[in-house]
Amino acid sequence: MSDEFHGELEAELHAQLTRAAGKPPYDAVDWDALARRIHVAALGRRVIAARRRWWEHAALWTRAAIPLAVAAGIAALALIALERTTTDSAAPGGTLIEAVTGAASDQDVAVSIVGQPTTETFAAEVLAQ
Amino acid sequence: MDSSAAQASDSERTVAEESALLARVQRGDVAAFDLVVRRYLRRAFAIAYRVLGHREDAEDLVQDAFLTALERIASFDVSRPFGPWFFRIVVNRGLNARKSRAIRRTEAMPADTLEAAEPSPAGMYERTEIRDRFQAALEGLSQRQRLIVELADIDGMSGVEIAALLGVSQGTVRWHLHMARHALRKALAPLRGE
Repeated sequence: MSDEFHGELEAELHAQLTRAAGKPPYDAVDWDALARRIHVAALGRRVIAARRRWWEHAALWTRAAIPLAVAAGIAALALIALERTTTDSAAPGGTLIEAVTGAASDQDVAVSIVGQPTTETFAAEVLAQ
Repeated sequence: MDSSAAQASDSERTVAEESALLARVQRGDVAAFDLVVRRYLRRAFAIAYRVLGHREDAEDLVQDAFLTALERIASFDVSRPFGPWFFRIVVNRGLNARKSRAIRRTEAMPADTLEAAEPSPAGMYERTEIRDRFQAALEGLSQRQRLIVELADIDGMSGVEIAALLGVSQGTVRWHLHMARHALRKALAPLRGE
């Protein structure tokens, strides 16, 4: 095939292809109207997206808040339990053990059981006797 | 500064400006989105028209593709070029639309200027025959081959651009282009006296 004929064939191919498929009809499109249409549709989607986002935020908060609340509750319960154990056993337990082993005086044992005597308690004891 | 350095600098500035624009779109700036739409509207329409072959369908596809891009914009890396990413959405949604629904028939193309210069009834007959054969050959191509040959030979897109658009390798584009041109040249065989 000669170069000249090859060139003609390619030109014919291009011409036929252009005729069959055509150039996009740019002149038939109202570009401003199309851009406006897309703008309006995008605003519609954004409203939906904004609503979704609000719910998503709430859901995220819920998702984060529930485990935090549970963890805080467990921690609080553990602290209370620990506090109780310490209060119940520490001071009196120690004095009773000392009393049993004879290391504490009678007065210490009495204080550990009924508490530190005050003026009022002392007066009440005297009056009662 | 020489011209190539100036061009490179302009290109970098354009990329940076577009990155900033797309970052604004990601933050929900509607005005920035409108600018992106104006910038890519014609090119998107051209591609949509190539896929669907009908003006109104192409307009619908362009709108749909812009909205899809807006929905996915948060996942888009603004340091990358927007065009290939967006045009791929246009093509993919266009091909899906073709598969999933019966779209309007391809519009009749305006008569070619070449046909106005037909010399004789015999010549006209031959040309009509060639035209019919060519049309049949074009319709016989796969959707992808037809799209590739039209984008390359009518719209003047490069293999790199088409590959990015379709999400395939350049080699695949070259192969499809070769096969499509081969089939179409065969339809023009009468011109060679075959």
